[in-house]
Amino acid sequence: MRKFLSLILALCLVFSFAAFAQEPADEPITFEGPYVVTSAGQSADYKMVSTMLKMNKVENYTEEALLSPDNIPADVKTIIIVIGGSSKGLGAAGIDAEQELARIEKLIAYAQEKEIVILAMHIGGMARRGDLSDKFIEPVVAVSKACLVVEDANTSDQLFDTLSEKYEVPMTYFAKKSDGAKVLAEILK
Amino acid sequence: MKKQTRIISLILTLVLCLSFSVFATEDKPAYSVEGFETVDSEGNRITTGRDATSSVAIASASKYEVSQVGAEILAKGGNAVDAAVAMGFALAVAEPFTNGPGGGGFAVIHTADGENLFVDFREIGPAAATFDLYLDAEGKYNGKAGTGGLASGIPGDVAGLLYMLENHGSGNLTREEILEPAIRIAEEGFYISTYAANAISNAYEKAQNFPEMQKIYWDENGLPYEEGHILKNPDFAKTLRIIAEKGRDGFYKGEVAQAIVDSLAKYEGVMTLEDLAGYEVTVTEPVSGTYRGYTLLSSSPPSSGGTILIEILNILENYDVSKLTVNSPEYIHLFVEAFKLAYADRAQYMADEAFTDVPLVGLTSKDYAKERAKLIDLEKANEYEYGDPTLFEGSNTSHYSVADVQGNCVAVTKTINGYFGSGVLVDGYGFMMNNEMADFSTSNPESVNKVEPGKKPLSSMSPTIVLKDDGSPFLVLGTPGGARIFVSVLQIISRVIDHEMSLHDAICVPKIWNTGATNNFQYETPLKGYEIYAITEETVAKLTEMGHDKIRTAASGAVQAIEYLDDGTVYGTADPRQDGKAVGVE
Repeated sequence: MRKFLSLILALCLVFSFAAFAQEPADEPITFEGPYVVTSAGQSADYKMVSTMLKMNKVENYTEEALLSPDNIPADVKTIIIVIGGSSKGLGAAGIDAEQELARIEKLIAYAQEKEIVILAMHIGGMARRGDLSDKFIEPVVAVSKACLVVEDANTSDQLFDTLSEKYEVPMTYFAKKSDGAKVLAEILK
Repeated sequence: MKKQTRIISLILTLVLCLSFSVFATEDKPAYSVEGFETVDSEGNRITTGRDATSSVAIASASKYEVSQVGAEILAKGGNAVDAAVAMGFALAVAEPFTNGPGGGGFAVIHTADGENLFVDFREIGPAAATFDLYLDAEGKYNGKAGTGGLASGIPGDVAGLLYMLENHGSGNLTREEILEPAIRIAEEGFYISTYAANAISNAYEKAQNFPEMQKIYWDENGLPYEEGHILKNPDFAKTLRIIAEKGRDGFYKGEVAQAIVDSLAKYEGVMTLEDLAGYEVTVTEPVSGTYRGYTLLSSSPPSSGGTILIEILNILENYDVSKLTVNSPEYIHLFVEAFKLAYADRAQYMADEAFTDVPLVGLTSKDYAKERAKLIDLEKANEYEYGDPTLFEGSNTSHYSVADVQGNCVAVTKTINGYFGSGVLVDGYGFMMNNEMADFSTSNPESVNKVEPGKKPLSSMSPTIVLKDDGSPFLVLGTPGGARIFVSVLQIISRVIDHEMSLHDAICVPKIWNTGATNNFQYETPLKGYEIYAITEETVAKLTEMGHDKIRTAASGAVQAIEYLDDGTVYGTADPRQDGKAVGVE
């Protein structure tokens, strides 16, 4: 009986080690500061991302809703573009969707020229999908080093999965907005 | 023995740990919404499971919890008005971004013995709110009617609800019993739905400037509460207890009134204690008209809704609408031309009757509508000027409906105007103040609807009751949606009467709008299951060819409605675009 129990225990230990053994991890993707947070679509989601940075005690960041080559801080290494359309936000900014898209395209061109890295985020879920928000998704994801997404934005049509494959952009999905701070903490250096 | 003791201790420890986890109580909201899903796994609004039928009475609100409150009050012996008042306070807690004690509204009541009432508890411009307060140094609008302390009119919500209770309630339930469900929701909480989470998220930028609002709607990290969180508001519970105990004076005088004045003053507001103490509800008859043999009872000025709804239906009555396919190009063109004609009149004539003559008789007359209808070209879109109805003299809101089989029914639409109103939350008392001053004209000194002290801003709210030709009730309905309200309501009425649609289908079919007298056609994308009524690319092309312009998709409204069925029961349903579900009394 004692030998049988010892054998069971040994097997359990072996399986435990196997369960916890990991394949060698891929090199984690990280983003270097200083950072600047902006919106693509003028929803307030970019302000929530600023709050997430504060939660992580990140100090070397600024926030600018209408970021452009004319007002981007000179030492920025990463632009965090938070995608989400808001007709109220666009109205408050005095622009329409086409003007916003033009701004984003200019910003992307500048970032590519200056080798500034882009991190895309979409934290508004299904509420930030639709004709208005979707205009901004592909142009931003296409040029991003990585994309962080609240998962229910992907559920109905797997748009983010499709773009991830098309542009080879790693996607990280998380359940809720409030999980975003933790996800950011792992990739901001 | 020692080994056995150790094993027994280990087992006991495990048992104790399991016991704690089983008996640990989860936070539960005041009213259960278990099993009620509003959005499917693909993000589509769920259109089924929103309705109920009863052989006694029924309540339909944009929150399932609030419909449950209505049914509870009815089951306890309250009448439709008792239920409507209890629901009004409960809705203020469970949908705080659309309505509440800091706002106002309208109610249309029809009693079984044939009395019809329009209860006007619209906000009023404070005594110090003059036109120039809303202009900058260059005489242009300064933005202060939309956000901050100057944005709020004197709230009428509490006065209106208590008036209805005291004058038309059954007398079977005390004020404390009527407010108890709302207090319980404030103390025990309610689930934040997808819809509510989106509203709280969308207000994130507004809340940046208002730390009092952040205390209630943001978590400890400064992020907006998300779907699934149980939101409690003990400050609001305190306010409701004061109202329960002291009635109207508990809100319009004393500590709550002082907190309102102080909270607004912190953000440049000019409202005074005298303003609040002097607030009065106005009670008149609803504006009325007919449509194909049915009588319409709806909102009188200062709402434009009822009058303009009746005018549009009068115009449409000149055509055989039943022969047109819903949302075909011909159908859309006719409705939109009628909308534009009526909007032109609305802009010219509709305002607070205490300050300007509103030619109601003319605007709601069949002859005037016939003359306006002559301007419609069935092949071509036009833009219109206002007519002269004197020759024939002769408006981020919530709606709920209650009815019993005896024939008593109440339609209530109430609001704080924009989502979360002015952004000013009354500190320590838990409710948002309205931004109703934005419904005035703040830039045109010639407008009949310009800001003036003591005046009510124009509204579009259209709580409506439709009666059959024998005078018995047929439909009770209304919706939020700003300047799209009355055209949304009339589309439901027409679909039921002209196309004999079920009430639920009439609500679910995509709606069309054209706000204003110029061409700017807007339409809804269809709910899942209603794609057959979609406004297709071919339809859009045909409408463009006819001259309609600035065509785009839009979203608006949530109709909560009740129908009296031929078998003597009442059927209620709630709009799947929001979180509502009707509840009947067993």
